[in-house]
Amino acid sequence: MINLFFKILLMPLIALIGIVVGLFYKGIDRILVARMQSRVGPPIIQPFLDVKKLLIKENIVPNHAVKWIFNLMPVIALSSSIVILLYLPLGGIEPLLEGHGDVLLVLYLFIFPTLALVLGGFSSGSPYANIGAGREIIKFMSYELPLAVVVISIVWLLSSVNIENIFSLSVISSNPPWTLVGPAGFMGLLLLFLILLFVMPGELGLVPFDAPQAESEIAGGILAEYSGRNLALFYLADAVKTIAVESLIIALFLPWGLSKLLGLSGEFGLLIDTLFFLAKLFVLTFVGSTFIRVAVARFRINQVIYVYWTHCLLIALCGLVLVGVDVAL
Amino acid sequence: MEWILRTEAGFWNPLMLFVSLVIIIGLVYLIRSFGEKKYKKGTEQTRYFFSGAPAPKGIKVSDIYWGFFVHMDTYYKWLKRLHTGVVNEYVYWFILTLTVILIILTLGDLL
Repeated sequence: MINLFFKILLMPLIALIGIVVGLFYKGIDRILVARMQSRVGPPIIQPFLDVKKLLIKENIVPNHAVKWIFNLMPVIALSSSIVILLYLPLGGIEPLLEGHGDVLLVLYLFIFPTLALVLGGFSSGSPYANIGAGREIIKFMSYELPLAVVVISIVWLLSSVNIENIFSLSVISSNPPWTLVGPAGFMGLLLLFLILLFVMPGELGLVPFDAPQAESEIAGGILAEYSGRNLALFYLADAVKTIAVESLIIALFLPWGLSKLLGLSGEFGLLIDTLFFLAKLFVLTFVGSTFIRVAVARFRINQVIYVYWTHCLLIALCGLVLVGVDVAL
Repeated sequence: MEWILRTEAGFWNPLMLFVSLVIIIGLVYLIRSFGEKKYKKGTEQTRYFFSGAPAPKGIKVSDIYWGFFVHMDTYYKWLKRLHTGVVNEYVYWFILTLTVILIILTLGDLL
């Protein structure tokens, strides 16, 4: 009971850490994008200033909007993004709700921020938001399949080497898949990792998969009618979801800590592991968000479906087959 | 009483999920309460933005699906061809799908 009470007390702390780290990495992302485009870029605290600015702006609700859904969905989007963090290992720390939810629950919880965004768009009563919401749900249907294939492949690999509690994220992050396979399996895992890196910008609505929010085309799409504190909540949800997605990728493919390698333990080992986790977050932010955003243009929504359902799905299935062949051998 | 629901290898605790959602929603509402509540109702700013063009009239609820029909056009054309309206063909599809599922399940058991 005391343990449960302690966990409940820590939930707001995890929420605060998720928000602060998410906004911090957003700031880093914006500076890197600017420098890669030969611009100076905003200060690193710009996302914090953006949230502060949005909170003092008017919270306009359009005439034709369904008011209660319009106001509720930003709350649901941010809440569900934060709850995902409670089930993920962060740095050298076990998930706060360890033993209360597995990786499949995390996959299901990733649906909620997207659905909140879609429902918020449809409730806006705006043609642009309508189009954006339709595109968002099409994109969601597209990337879920390769994502599921990747996660199930990892879990299946763990089950084939007779590890127990294969769906537990603590167990998954304690057994790096790269150490369980030979050359064929290594290639398979590499393909699966690449596909997950490709699913990440889709999950986060980044270029080239930002057709639902296409600023230059449909004036912000889903979020066209949002302003003030509601828009601030969606902004925060986006920042927290970035950390959640990257934490999942780290738990599945890059779970190592430095403390064991350096022979450290206790608080100092935890600090080293946390710093290493932040470094991994930075690498994933750069590769999955910054670099792709600067390098490529936006896909049309029909191209998004084609890319995820053909190329990404086929490559993910090839990865699964290679892992299967390695296990069979 | 244990609230954790278990399958063969998976597990989750719906009560803990509900409690954590309630707590976090409370926290998010607290963050939201720091924001400005007011806006000017019934003014130009509450009309939806349509790039300055006049607002289109008579947009139907069914128009919501326009985006799906356009972007998944190939898929819908294939689906429409399958839907012949002949009941016998729907029964054949049902039997075929059931057969495939049974084969997969049997192979799964055997392997």
